[in-house]
Amino acid sequence: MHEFSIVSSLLDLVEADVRKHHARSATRVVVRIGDMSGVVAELLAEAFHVCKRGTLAEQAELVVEKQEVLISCHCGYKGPIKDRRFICPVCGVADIEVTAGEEMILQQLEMEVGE
Amino acid sequence: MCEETHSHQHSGHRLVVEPQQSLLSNNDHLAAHIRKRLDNLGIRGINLMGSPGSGKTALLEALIDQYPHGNLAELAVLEGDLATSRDADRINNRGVKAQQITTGSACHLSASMVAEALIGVSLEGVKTLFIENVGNLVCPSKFALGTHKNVVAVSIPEGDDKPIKYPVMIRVADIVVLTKADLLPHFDFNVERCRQEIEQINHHAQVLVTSAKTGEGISELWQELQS
Repeated sequence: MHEFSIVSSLLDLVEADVRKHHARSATRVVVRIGDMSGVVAELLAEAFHVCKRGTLAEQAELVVEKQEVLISCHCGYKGPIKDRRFICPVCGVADIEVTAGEEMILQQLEMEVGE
Repeated sequence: MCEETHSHQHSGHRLVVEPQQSLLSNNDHLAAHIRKRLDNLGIRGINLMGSPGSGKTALLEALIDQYPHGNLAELAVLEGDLATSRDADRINNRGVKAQQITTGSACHLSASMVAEALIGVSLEGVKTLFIENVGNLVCPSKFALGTHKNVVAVSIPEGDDKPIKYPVMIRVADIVVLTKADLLPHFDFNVERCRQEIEQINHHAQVLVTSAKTGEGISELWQELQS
């Protein structure tokens, strides 16, 4: 259950951005969570709901966009993996580059600005 | 530390920005500071992770036992646990300085816990700093601590399917240590299949078979840690 730590870190980032832009509060927070980021999207949403109270994101809606794992292989293959194995599903080599799916990113933030 | 924040849309009283920033960037920044401090002091940091009971502390004891006894001041250990200082006591009894970090209920160490604990440890003359993470095969994987190598312990009694069940942890491993190899005759643990599955999750990871009891693989592990 490290989702609470991650949400508290997320809320720190959100509050810093709200202050930096002299906004009043955050209204919408969009995060992108990779399938292999080690974070459970549902738990993250639950933790956000609990932890946002009393912060500048208290009224904010959280949108979680899930990102599947994508790789790029020397053989030219670009796309998803199979069975959570980080090998090329076409040529079978393990020397591949992971291009998405391990990240947890604060993608977009919508804020309410002053009068 | 400033991140690029790009404003691209004003709509009435709403402002939308796209920070495109890791949720753990605060932890990552602090970890980078710790890393720099260790580098300046010529210290190699090792983050030792694994399930509770995977033999992390016993592995440290075995590593200490194979280190030149006159040079034990070159080693230091931070011990992360939910409660008690038992693990730090075990290391202290071996003649190596150890600082306990009790996390209360936190299931992983974070860079801030490490930074705080390092205040209490004299790093003078230290060459290798081990950080034994909280026993957990999920949460610690995402929290950088500023160390140079991630070592993941998987014990023989846990079963050879552990890596494929916990791929996120294996993905961050530089070295996967199969511990308690002296128990191999008593378990259906297929070392080759396990190696293959680790390779299919993270082909950069080294796999070493060790036993803290017999000392098997410990000098090879020292070599890998220092490489």
